[in-house]
Amino acid sequence: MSETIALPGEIIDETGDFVNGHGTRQTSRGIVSTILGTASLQNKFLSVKPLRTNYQGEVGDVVVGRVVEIVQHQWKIDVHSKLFAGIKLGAINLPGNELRIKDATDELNMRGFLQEGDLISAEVQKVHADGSLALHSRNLLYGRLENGILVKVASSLIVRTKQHFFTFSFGVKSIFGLNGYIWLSPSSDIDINQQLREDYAGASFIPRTSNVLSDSSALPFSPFERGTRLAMARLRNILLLMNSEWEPISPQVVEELFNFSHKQKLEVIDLLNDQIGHKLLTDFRAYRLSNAAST
Amino acid sequence: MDILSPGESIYVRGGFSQGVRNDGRDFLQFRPISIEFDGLRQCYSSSKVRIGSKSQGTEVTTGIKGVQLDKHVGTNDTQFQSTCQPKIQCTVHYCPGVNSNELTAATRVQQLDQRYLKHAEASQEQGGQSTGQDATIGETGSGLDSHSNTREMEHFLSAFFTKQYSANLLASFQGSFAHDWQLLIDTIVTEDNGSIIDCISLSIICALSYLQLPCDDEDPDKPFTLSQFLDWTTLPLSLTCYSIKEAGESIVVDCYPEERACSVCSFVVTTRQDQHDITKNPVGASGTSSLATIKLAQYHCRNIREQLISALQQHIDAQRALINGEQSSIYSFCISLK
Repeated sequence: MSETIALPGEIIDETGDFVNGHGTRQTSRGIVSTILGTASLQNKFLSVKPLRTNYQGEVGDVVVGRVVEIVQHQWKIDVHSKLFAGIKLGAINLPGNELRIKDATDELNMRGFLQEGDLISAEVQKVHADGSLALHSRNLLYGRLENGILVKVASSLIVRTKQHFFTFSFGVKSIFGLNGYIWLSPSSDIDINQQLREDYAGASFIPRTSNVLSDSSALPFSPFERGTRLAMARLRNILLLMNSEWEPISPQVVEELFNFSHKQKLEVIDLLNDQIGHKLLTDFRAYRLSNAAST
Repeated sequence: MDILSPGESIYVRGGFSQGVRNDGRDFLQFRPISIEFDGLRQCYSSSKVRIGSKSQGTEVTTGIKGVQLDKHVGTNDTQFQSTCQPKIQCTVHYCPGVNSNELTAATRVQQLDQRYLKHAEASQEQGGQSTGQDATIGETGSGLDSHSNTREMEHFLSAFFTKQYSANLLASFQGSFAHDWQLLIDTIVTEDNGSIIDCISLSIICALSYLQLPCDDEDPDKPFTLSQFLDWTTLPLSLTCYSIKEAGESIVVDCYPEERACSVCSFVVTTRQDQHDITKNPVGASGTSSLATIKLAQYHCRNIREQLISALQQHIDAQRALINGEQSSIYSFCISLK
């Protein structure tokens, strides 16, 4: 039996020769699919794998997540998985250049590094038996994310590539989390953050100063151009468009589509329109096909 | 819905000060609106309104049914007019497919809450001493705060629209029709990404715009329209405006939840011809606003309403001309406001 698309309520087997698995139900008429997905057969075990699903982590994945809770020794992170992921206090680097044992003082200061609502990027360290994830951020690439926007797409659309941290040529840097959360921020932040990083060398999370929000002149970010902001808006709209059109998302394709939408003379807000968006993607697919044929 | 991180709120507020929003719109620009008429066969009229794109938007379905109460045949005209206003009952079901325990009505920023609290205290002290240029409208009671859940949301919305359509709309009723009807407006929210009140309000207007009730007396085949809905362009439309401080005293419409969380306070302006009715909902802590801001909100809401209604009328007229004589069918279109 080859892989076929099964619809909810569709009878996928009437013979009664098979055992019903995940995403199916045994009825008097036969085995019926309960979800939309691809039907697959292993020996006599018939199951349906869902098309749209929550993120199921694998070790080494780059993810973007949001802190939802602080519990003993660890932060609970929402990564659009079926269970909250956890990042242990021991799995981050604290200020001071050497690795050290975290004591009770560090535990009391946890909210100083990350508080509820904060966004972070991290890597999956371990997948527990119940499917929940343990994250770590022992790398200067990872850390708290500030001054940007989060775009949520389906996790199955993100293409696994070598590089999930990508800087676009138009002044936007991005993190393509494999859990479907994409972080966009202006790339001009780098210089100022480096200054802060030198002060807190080796730390995963730079402690938050209390006056960051109340005094906008004391923001640790350089102001950036209106053009960069518009580029980010365009990128955001393109990502949401690719999500609704079910187009696999990788940094290279996103950049191509970005330039293509410029070539088609589309305004940023035009991309919010479903009809225009659909036409753009249809044209884009044809354009890529003709390019592939010519090379 | 998520909590908004301080890091994101910095970006959103930076965008406000530079005049560019997260998706590239201007402050007074709506997302594309698509409307589908007559999708529900069981109702006398129905509409489905979607604000925003397929992947991120607010979607509302409205259906209207009528119940015929008493017949008034050959009664005194004046008495007739006073008794036969249709009673309107409005219910709103808020069920955008989210676990109700997890859902809060607004995203929130903890640190911003404190900031607004300080701001509110400061302006209240100022108001006590100054000549009263700052106006603070009293809290509405039924207003939503950042901790509201789905049930509160549903209560608020249904109370708001029942009030709008039973008292406000029919107060100026004139004309006569054959039967005493009770109208039942049922609205279901299936997706929520900001502008929920705008979307419901528009959806009710669209459904009422072609409401035709069956008539069984003289001509059983020909349905009739209640007289006050013949000119549906006079129906009240509620729009939500958000006041932001980052770019002077500015008004933003059609906000995403994250933009809502970064605003100071929100008004619901209901416009009906020349009248305004304003409800104020503070965002986060109690936001304050000056009279000038409220005037500005009224002005913008009237403009947007005019644009919206005229665009809607154009499309409906065009579509009516196309399907003239045939049975009404599902048709949809897309409005983009400049």
